[in-house]
Amino acid sequence: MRAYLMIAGNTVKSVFSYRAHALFQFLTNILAIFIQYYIWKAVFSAIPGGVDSGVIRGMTFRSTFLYVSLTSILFVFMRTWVEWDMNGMIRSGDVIMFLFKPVDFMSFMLSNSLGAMFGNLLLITVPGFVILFGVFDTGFVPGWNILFFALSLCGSCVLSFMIDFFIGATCFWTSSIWGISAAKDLIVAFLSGALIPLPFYPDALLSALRFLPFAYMYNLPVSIMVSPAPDLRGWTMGICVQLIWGVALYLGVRAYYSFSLKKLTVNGG
Amino acid sequence: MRRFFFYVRLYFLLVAQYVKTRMQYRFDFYVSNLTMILGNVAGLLSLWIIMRSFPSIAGWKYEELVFVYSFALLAQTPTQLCFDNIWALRMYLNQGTFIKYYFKPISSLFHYLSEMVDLKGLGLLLCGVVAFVWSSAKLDIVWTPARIVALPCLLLGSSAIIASLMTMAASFSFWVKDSYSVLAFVGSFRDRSYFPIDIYSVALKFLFTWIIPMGFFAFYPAEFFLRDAPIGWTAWASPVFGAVFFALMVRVWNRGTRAWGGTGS
Repeated sequence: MRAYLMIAGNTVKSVFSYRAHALFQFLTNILAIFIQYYIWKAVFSAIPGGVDSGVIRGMTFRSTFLYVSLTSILFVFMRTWVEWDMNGMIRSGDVIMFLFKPVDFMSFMLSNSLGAMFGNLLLITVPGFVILFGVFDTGFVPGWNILFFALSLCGSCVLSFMIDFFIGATCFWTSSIWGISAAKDLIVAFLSGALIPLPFYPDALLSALRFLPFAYMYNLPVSIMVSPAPDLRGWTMGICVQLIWGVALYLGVRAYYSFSLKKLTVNGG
Repeated sequence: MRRFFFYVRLYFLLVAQYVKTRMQYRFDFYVSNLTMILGNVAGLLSLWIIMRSFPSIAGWKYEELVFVYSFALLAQTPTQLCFDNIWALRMYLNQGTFIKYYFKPISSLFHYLSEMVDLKGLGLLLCGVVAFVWSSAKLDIVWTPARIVALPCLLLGSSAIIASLMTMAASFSFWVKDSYSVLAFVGSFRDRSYFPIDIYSVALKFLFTWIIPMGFFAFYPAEFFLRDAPIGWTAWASPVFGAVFFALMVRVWNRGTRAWGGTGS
């Protein structure tokens, strides 16, 4: 455990050493929030009730804006380039060094990823929240929702890592990293609510999404934050399902990784 | 003029070699293009999801926004096809391999860009053409001679703006270690450029017209085809902005190549 904490600590340090990088990611986040604000304002002013009291599919302007801002902040928070790192290690053959060490490769990558998320949290995510809640009127009422949001976000981080590691393990098979990684980002964003809030989706699509893990990555934590009244039962249920997905994905991805590893050939150095 | 033809011939020679090496990786070609197409399908689908719950965005309806979207795709295609090597610039600089571009009797910017042509730009082009034809048919756009002449000029102007901004963003790595996040920052404007500029506040409108001219990526020039009423100067100004930004970009690049100190190995 101590070894893994050290690994995570090192990644946090490396995030801090690229401060200019973090600054621009923060600016990208803020820009996205401002743009989303005006887009949804324009969209909501076209309906009866308008920006102040118009409701479409249970969403007001304020809740929609909070939803999309949070998803875009979380998208940057959870992006830790696991599959790109793995691709680099597999292409260069460095991955062999990790297979010799007395650490488990998957746990090593997980510690790396969680460390990077922690660095992102301090440098990009928290400042983003400060701007979001400091500048805009989001209509957010703090309470139990913060605790449940934090809990479900931990689950989201694990789900996000599992999907990234799955794509990373696919690099044992193919060198087409841009294609598969971008396709992954796309599928996750579209099916999780990170592109457009899920409540606006057609009902048929929504009921299909209930059987997939993606909605538990973004829609669950974010909808906890935007829901007008606490729904402790529903939230607990959501987090339980998220947990089940986490375990299922872990087992599946672990098996896939062990299987893919057999494919690895590294030229002698 | 002879020099121009020399460069054109050289470009095709270099690119042909690159395409041959890429064809070794057929699977990558298909996956990348498929992802490119799926990405734009998802983009249009999310626009459709918004527009099925809401009547319009600032008075613009779905087909009109698809037209602006397709204009943005067409304007992005040259950047995707011919300028994609800029994403790798930070690697060349940090590893020191960029030094080779100093030893050739041709422009280093030209040489650097011509070493790669990104074939997934073809998928982008396909999406752009399909969405363009579909939306202009739906909207019954009247193709007057003025519009037919304007289309390539305005597209070229927008392309020059996008390519120049992206290349300037990448050129940051001549001075700082990693320009990836600067590129991603500029890239994030590109992804939102199809929304009407009318929706933003005065300050943002100024920013998106003059500083980071996202309005000229697609929305302003597309207005020329969507509106019959008198249109502002912004509708035809993208070639001027394109020329200015292109000249600026070449200067930044040349300064960068002079400022870069190499890695010492």
